[in-house]
Amino acid sequence: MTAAEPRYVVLGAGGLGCPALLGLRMAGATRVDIVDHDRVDASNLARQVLYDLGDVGARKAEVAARRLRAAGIDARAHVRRIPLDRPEALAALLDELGRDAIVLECTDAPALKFACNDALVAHGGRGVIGAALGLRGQAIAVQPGSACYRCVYEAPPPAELLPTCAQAGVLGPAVGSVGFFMATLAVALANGGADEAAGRLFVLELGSGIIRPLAGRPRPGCSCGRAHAPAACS
Amino acid sequence: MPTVRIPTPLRKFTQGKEEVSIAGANVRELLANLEVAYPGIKERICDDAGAVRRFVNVFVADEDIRFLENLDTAVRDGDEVSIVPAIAGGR
Repeated sequence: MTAAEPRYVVLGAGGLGCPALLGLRMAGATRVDIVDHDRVDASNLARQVLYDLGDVGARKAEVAARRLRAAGIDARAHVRRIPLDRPEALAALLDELGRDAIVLECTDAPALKFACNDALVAHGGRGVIGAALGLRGQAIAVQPGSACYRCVYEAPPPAELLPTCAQAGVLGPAVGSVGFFMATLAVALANGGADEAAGRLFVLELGSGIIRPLAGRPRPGCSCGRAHAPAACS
Repeated sequence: MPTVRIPTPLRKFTQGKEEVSIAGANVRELLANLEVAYPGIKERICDDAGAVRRFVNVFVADEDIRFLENLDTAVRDGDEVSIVPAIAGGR
């Protein structure tokens, strides 16, 4: 291991986080921080494939880190609940973990997706924000100079208009595909090979077998404008 | 007619259809006709002032209409119009 090897921070070790972590492992990642406050529930086991029956009741971050360490990865668990109404708390956590890390936002909280985006943009960070619902997923890679999540969506949806996995359903292989895709984008960011992909919203229509890359331009007036080059986002 | 791709959360308005064919010379007309065909769907896409909601995007042929002519963006026969709301699942 060398200091130059990329470090990843995975926020959320659930349906998206587990496959994202496996994807990072498959890519040869050597340093991973895992942030999650939740405990393993028996109902998680089908799609959260880092856990088994013996882990029920244990902290997901700790179990996931242990699994990765068993594979030779320097994995650290952070059992933290990030307050949804205090985006500065996430920014402080990312500061604490090191701004050079590539962040994978794998939670199911819209507020955290925006907070993660804003924290990345404010500090010139790199990361991937993703979500999955039913047979559909979304992912966007953000790096300095690219469009950001807020260029695509200006604000989170209100809770009453946001369908949950319980309402719309979630299919394990679909959320797994999105998690692996997020890991792929994160590794591309780490390797400097994401210039074409960064800033584009990828819509994964997994029931139809379609991955659709949509737009990719910094939005004039976006709050990230100060971080984009003036010519790109005034 | 243009084809409109319906996202998962809005398919309850289209009887589960992923795609529907809707007439309209531009996005504004298309959304109005979508509402006629599938009542209740437009208020999920547009706010009370008629603007596309801040957590929804509309793409014509994979281009964000905000970078085109917004609701006045022309649509043609065979164009694919995608309605893409923010989603947040993943637990």
